Amino acid sequence: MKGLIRKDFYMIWEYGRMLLLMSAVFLGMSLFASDDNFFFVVYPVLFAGILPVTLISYEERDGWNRMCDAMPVSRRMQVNERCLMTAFCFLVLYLLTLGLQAAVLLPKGNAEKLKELACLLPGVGLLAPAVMIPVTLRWGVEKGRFVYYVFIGVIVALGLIGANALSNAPADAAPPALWLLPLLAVLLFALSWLLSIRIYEKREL
Amino acid sequence: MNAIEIHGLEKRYPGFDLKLDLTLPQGCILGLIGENGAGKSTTIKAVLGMLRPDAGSIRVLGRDNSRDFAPVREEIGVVLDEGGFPACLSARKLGKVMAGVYKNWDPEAYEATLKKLSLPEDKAYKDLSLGMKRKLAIAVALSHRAKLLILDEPTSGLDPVVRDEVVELFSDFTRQEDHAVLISSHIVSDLEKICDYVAFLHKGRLLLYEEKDALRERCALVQLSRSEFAALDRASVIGHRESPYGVSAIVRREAVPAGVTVEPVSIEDLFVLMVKEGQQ
Repeated sequence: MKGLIRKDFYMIWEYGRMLLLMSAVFLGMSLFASDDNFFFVVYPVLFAGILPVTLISYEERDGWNRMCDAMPVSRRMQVNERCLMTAFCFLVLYLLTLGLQAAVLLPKGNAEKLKELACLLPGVGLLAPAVMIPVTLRWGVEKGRFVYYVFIGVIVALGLIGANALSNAPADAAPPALWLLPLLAVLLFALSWLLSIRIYEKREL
Repeated sequence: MNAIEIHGLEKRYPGFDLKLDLTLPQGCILGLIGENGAGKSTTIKAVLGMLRPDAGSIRVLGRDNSRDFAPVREEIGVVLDEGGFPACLSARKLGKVMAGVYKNWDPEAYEATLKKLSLPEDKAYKDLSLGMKRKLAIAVALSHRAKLLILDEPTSGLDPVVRDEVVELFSDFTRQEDHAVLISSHIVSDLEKICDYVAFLHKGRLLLYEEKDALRERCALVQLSRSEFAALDRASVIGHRESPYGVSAIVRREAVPAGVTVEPVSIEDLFVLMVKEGQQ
């Protein structure tokens, strides 16, 4: 697996440099944005989650997925490596984002906002790869991308419905259990991981 | 022990099916010869466990390739027809990646092969010529102390001088008794130089599988008039080609008419005439 991880780092540096640069710029801008503006905070984590998944398209183009089948690398190991890289990239950007936001929000006494961010970001970073990895491994990159756009649409729609429901909720209603979100995101990612192994072990390239 | 044993292999695709029995003894080089779409790459993928056969069994280096085969691939050096390395990686980076993939990766052997094949270490894979890409794949295949090389069209895209060097590398590889090579190629002359056994594939079927030298001893190329050809026992004719000047035929030596000049048969002639014979 060490070789696959090293290869992914090389590829991320080659193909993901722009995304990493954009993430750095967005993180920098998030320091100066208002506390309610999540845009610059959310995007780096979203990029981090999908970066290892986008590498699959380069690998398909280059025939690396077939080459892996000719090397001492099982399908299970290939999926494990991809999911570990995804989790690693997410975690790095998640912690970095939270660290920077803590530096901005805590001096203002806005710990609640930080908690909200800590609960929302795993959903942002892990749900997209949780959907895309099994779909891409089963049907290839093109369909994976299509499903991703549908998924983004569904998430935006659900977000709007949720925001609408919250704004119409009575003032004495219990606050939403935000802490459930990261648990749900991690659980979905874990299920997607297992499903991806099953799918990819059966697929004939 | 045989390096590869294929028994009753069947693989069906829409419009094509492969049926095959084949053996590669250790210490030998087996050349898989066939036109485009004959089933060479399908055979190689089946041997590597990259596809699931519809029937049959395959043993590679004594192990069933349908069960927990990934560790066995440590001992197999592979060159795939389609390349297969990430476009952004240089030979140097690829070496570092492979060091983490193969337990027996030999960086000195890799570097030496890169030098021998005049490969640049820092040029990205995507910027290499087709021939250089092939050479890089060969360098990787030869650098992890493999016992079996499985090579799909390894010499296509190489110039004749480099092809000769590469063929020599494969030949050196089999100097060790427990090494073996399965090699497919369109360039039959390369296979003719190094193969101990040849297997002809045509439309998913094995036309012929035999030791190369025995084949040459048994068969002969003769130039005959039409009447001489008509007088031959057709069972002794392996293949023939008619032209305005007469008939070129490959026949069993014992059936060659007295007084007819016999020429040594090349594997390429044999393959081409056998395929044509099948089409007639």
